[in-house]
Amino acid sequence: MKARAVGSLFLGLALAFNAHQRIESAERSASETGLVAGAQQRPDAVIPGVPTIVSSPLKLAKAIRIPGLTLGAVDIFWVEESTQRLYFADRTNGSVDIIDTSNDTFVTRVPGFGPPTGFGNGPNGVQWVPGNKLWVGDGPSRVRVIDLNLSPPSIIQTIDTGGALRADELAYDPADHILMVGNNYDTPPFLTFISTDTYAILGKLVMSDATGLEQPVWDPQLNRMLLNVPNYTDLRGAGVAVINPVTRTIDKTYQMPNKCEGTGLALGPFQRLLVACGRPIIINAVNGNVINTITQVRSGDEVWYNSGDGQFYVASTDTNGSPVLGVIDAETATWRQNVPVGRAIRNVSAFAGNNHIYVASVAPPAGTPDTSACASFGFVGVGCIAVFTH
Amino acid sequence: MRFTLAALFFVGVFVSPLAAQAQGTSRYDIAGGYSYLHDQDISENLSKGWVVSVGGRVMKWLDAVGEVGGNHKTLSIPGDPPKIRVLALMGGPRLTGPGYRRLTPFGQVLFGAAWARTSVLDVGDSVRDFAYQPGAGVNWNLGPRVGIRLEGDYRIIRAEGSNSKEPRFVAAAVFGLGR
Repeated sequence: MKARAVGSLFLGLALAFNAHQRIESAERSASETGLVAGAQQRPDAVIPGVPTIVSSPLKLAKAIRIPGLTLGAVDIFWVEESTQRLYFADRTNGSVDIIDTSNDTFVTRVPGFGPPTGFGNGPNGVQWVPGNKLWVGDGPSRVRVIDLNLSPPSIIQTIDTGGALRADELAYDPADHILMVGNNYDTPPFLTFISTDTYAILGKLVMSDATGLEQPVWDPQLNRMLLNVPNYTDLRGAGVAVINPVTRTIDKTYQMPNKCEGTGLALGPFQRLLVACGRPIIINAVNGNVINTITQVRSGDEVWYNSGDGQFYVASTDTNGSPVLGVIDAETATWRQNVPVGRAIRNVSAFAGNNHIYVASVAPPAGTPDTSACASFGFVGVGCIAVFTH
Repeated sequence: MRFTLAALFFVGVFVSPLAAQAQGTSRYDIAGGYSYLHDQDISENLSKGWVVSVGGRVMKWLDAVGEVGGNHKTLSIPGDPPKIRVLALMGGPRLTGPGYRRLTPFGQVLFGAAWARTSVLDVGDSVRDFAYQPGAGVNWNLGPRVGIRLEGDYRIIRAEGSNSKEPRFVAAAVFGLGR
């Protein structure tokens, strides 16, 4: 009995020692491979959902030149942490472009999207889905699926959502393998729910009282899609619809104040939901209560939450109408900083692995001076992806 | 290396013939009290906490220990306040050192699981991970079967390829049972 007890004790100590060794080894390995990017990036927390706030100011760091036609029109940006890639809708080149976020370089382009203008235009929304597929809202009324495993990545599926105009923004429900996409310009606008396993259309939800559809986001804790509805036919202003993607029904709608017009949507920590509605409005996604309305910056189109630094980002203008990248502390729901960008920017995303923030800076009209972030890096009159860091 | 030295120190101090001279008279002990935990990962103090532990004598200087403890905190930020909870269920060996007057030192290494949950209005996210917890303390024996325990621990939770560290302080009442 005594021998067994002593043996157990030393076995315990040995296990603890071994575990400690493995931890040190894992930390060394991550450091050597560069996957732990910078001291500000903490390892995954054991307590879920608590953000690490990076309070140092954000500044313009570099610009990424996009090959092909001068960058004139873009839409949704999506950074996928697992692949370390930024995917964005490049309407100018009729493509989805791919950026390596670990070194901020252009990787490749997947062509075959469009047309670039009109109500049936594309590409629009982009959404990465496990299996390394990228789902893209395209015109007219088509959803394309890119297989990113192929070399080069190529479109492998085209799904007609049955509308007349463009298929726009989309979101993915990983619990049920359902992708939701909005036909925002059709009358009435409608949502289509597609199985990401079989590519079959599971059903639709017609939003008969909505004037359009904007950014959706999946809420994994509520198990619901949240959708920014920009306005309703009675002009009561934007609402956030809480949608069950399995039953394809609306559970409830959070009405936004002051009849504002909605655009983007981003889910942060503690169910804090940034609703772009003229101003950034931060609400509780559980009950719709407004936590704070940000007054120092307008809200722009797409908005993003970066879990790497605990900040919401908006690409918009300040109170004087000057183009800025707005930074909002997601935990306290307070404005933190406006970073001047010289010329209008649109769409924003971030890579939490190194806290690089990406915005599209499109080229100015021919003959006008280029005051954009791109020009300060020598890319005059061509547009670029501007990269900001702390 | 630091861990090796700590382990050698632990064994040297507690696994010695002297340890046998100062064992308690009770076959079992049960302790319950307050715990204060700091999570280094999120830089938060979880000052509301509790702990219950049960020990059974295996040898004169060796107990087998089971412990359950929880800590929680409500964050003071605008809007509906988020709640953080940590719960740990652990067990392992405890070595009791030679007593000095009414003080009996001990050291232990516990292994088990830690649960962490963050929620707002009861909507939240939780995880469970492997944890181990070296610690040491002293029992202040007020009588043959009752005492006060002061204890410090260093819980390490292995989560998603990294480790989170949670130093903890415990103050508890200890009761002896059996002979």
